[in-house]
Amino acid sequence: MLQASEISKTFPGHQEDLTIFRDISLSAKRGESIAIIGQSGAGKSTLLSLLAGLDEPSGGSISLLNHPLHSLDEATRAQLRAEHISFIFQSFQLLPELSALDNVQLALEIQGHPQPEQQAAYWLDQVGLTDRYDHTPAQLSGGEQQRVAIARAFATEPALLFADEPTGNLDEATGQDIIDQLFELNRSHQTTLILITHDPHLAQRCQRCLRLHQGALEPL
Amino acid sequence: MMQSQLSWGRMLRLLRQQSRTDLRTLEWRSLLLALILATSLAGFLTVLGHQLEQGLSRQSEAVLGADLTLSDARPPAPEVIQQAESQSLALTEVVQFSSMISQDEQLLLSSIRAVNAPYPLRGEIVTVPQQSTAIPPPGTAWAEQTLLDRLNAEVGSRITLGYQELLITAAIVRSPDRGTGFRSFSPQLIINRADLDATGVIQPGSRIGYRLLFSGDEASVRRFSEWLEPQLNPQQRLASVYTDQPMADGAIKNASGFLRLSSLFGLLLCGLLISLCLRRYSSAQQSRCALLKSLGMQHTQILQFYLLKLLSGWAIAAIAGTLLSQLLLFIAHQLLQSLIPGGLPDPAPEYYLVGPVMSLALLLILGFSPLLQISNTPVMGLLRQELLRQNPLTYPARIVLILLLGAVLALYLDSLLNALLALLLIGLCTLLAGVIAATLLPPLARQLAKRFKLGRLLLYRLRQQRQWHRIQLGIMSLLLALLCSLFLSQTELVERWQNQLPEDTPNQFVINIQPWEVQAVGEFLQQQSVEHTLYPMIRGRVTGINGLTPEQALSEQQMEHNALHRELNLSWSADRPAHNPLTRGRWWSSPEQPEISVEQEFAETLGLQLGDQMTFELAGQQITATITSVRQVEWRSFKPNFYVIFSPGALENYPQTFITSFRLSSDEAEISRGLLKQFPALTLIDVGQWIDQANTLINQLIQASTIVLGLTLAAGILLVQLLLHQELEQRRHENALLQVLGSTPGQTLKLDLLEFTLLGLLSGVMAALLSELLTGLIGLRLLELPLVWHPAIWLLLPLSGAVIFLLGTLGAHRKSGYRQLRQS
Repeated sequence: MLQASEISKTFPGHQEDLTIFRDISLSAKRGESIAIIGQSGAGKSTLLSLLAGLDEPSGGSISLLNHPLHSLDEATRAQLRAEHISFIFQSFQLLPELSALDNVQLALEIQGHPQPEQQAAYWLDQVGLTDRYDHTPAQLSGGEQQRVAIARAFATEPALLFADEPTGNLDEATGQDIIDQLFELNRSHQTTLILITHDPHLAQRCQRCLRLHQGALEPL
Repeated sequence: MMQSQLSWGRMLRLLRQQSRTDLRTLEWRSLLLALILATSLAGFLTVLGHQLEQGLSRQSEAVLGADLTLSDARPPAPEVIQQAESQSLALTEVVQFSSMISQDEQLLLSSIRAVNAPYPLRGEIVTVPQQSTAIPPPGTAWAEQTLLDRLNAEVGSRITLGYQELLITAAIVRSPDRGTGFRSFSPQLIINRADLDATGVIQPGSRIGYRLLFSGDEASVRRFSEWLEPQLNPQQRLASVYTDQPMADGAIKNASGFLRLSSLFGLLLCGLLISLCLRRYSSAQQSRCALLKSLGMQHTQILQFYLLKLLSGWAIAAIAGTLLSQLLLFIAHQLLQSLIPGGLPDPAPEYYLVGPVMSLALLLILGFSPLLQISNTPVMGLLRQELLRQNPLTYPARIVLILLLGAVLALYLDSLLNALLALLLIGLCTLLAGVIAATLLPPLARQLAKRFKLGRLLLYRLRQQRQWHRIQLGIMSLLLALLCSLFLSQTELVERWQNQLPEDTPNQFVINIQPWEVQAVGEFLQQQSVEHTLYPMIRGRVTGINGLTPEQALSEQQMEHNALHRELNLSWSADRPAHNPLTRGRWWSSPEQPEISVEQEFAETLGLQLGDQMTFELAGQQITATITSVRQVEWRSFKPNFYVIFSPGALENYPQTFITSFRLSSDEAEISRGLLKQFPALTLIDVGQWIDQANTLINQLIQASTIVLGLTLAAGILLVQLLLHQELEQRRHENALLQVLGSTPGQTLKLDLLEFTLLGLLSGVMAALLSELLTGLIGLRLLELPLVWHPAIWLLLPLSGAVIFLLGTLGAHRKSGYRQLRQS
């Protein structure tokens, strides 16, 4: 599914270059769930953007579904993302001017899905938002917004799902509901889940737990 | 304890430390630029406007050259002079007329003033070199510098006026009593009245302006004026320093008012820009404020600190703006030099303060609310971001601010009505252009959306941003339209007016041909193979229609016809002029009673019918004639044309001169020189020179307006750029999300470019429409030119609009990435 070998990331600095991590390797199988924890500034988001093909590593190689991400051009990487990768964010990241249905539909349109509207409606039903199709994000609660984000993430039927602090902006009870739903869908659709979190309890629900510390990825 | 820690000295240090950070932010830089533009716009126009007004009306009496003037087309009546003398008023007589003067091979149409000492009665003629006499001694003349320049002459040169040769002994720097109307814009020559007869240019029937100048104590002048006023005939005009602002309705006053009004749009844009920048700035400063408060800074100290900050920004902008306005003034002075003989006077120092004061007023009025918002930031905002938001002003507060702003603009324009009218007009045009363009935007975008992957998002964006789009479209449309209209007026209107004249349109008029010269002039022109027809010309006034006075016979509206209020040029002819086709009636053969043929528009306005009788007063005698035909006259044909032509035999015994017009090509100038040499008393008017003089005047005013528009354009582009930047910052986050969802950076950039290029294109289309309307209206109303389309501007303006937005988008576009999503 996903194979990262000896990847490193260095940013050019004023006086000297800043190395975020060096020689990190990671592999994920289909349907597997992996938690990555680490302190603020450890480079979790940088690692995520490399694994998702949003950025290019300074060294090493990344293979997604047998495609060498590190050597593909921007357009092909974007196409791979549209077809096989989804994201769930801490701050939901819904477009404020679009309704719940439109937000889900947009991802499907970018993917080139033949029936984006039906598929979007199906997935909103799946996350329990049947009566919220036309609501804009401002008219939805935090939990409902994150459900729209989950519907958007699963609607494209991704092989790989990145969840970046998905409960960070929610109260405990709502967060718990969302996580249950996330793991349930992960199981039923055999999606590979890579979860970035501060929360050790949440991390423990994943099959594997890794810690990004001082530029290295260690198993916990 | 806190108080001592935040002393003024410490505050100033904090201010200095923060100023570098401030300069890196777009909103602070834009604020400074807006203040610089507002300072220079207001400063430049106030000083220039004041100089223009002062330039011509230094003091009212100096412009008139007296306390009271009486202008007339005839020599003054002796009883007027007697009455003035009995009131112990000083008086002098001026004769003014247009004539060609020559030096060597050069000919120039000039305005000649023949004066007697004492002259002027108020003010003085300033010359270089300074002269010991108040007026030129006989045999000499004083000329304005433009006249000398155009004749390639200098002080000491000899020029010829009619039969008389005159020595130029001084260049006029400044002189009162230049006269009014277009005649006053021709370069002027002052000669001694004693030389007038010798020039031979004044003949019976010549077109001459006579002016009597009076001065004395105020009571006597008023008494005399009250005696004179009821006796005035329609062609006499009285101007007094006590009752008239002589230049109040003059072209220069209008020009200065026009310049000031045209700056209003620029100032409004600056105001909008200042307001937007301050809103963004205060929004960005709120978390810093919350922090300062958490460290113990008090509400009033925050207020003082930010007020100090704004004032320091204003001080820098005021200096830069004043310097810029000086530079613009220098350019404007070069452009307008010849408009004001003697140059522009130094303005009073307080006028230099108007620019800085104006920008300070704008800053304080528009900065009031953001300052209050900053100082009211709660410390809790540090913990809860949602508390750091800007609260909209209450309605009463908004109304107070709008009234204050209106008051400042009214003070600047010196007229509440003008300020209101201009605000209304600009507001309506901007709104209309904005609304129409914003309405056209979605259907256009829908067409494009079908062809583009992220097309649907484009439609969402347009819907979400429609309020800003309306403003951007309105402002950009009006800006481009104003610029284009000025350009078209400058380059095209006069040229089109000239080009529409047929190739053989006469360009030389000869008037004041005396009856005994007719044969010789005709022979001279025939020898040179110049096609021409000589027409007699007699001055007369309409005094009756069908036995009634015009007042009795005509309605008030009909009485407004210009021809009823002045002496008309009448003519007589056996044959119908070839260029005057008849529309009604018949041409006479050999009538026993006087018959007349009248011009069509004149007949229609006055409701004159065939068979009606008209009475005219000619040289004190009444003559009545029957209308037997109506003629069509093309006034712009530059051929001799008359409202009324008599049948032969009716007017032969009245004093008359002859007139003719003909065309000379540029290599036939020798003919006109030869004509004037042989007949020095003729008045030859070169139409080309007349058009050139008008053209120069129009161009000078347009160029001065271009400076104003340049500054306005800068403010407009800055505003559009700021709005673009603001929108693109919002888009940055959206684009990051789109990329995460599977779009490429290229696709998201394309989406941004598509959206803003569409805005630019549409504002260009609206601008083209507005320009067509504006220039069409100017052409139609002022020059009677038919409406024409300019295909080029329908291409160029949308293209310019698109390029401005495109460059703005590319300039403000920043790369999006996963980081943006994390940061939000």
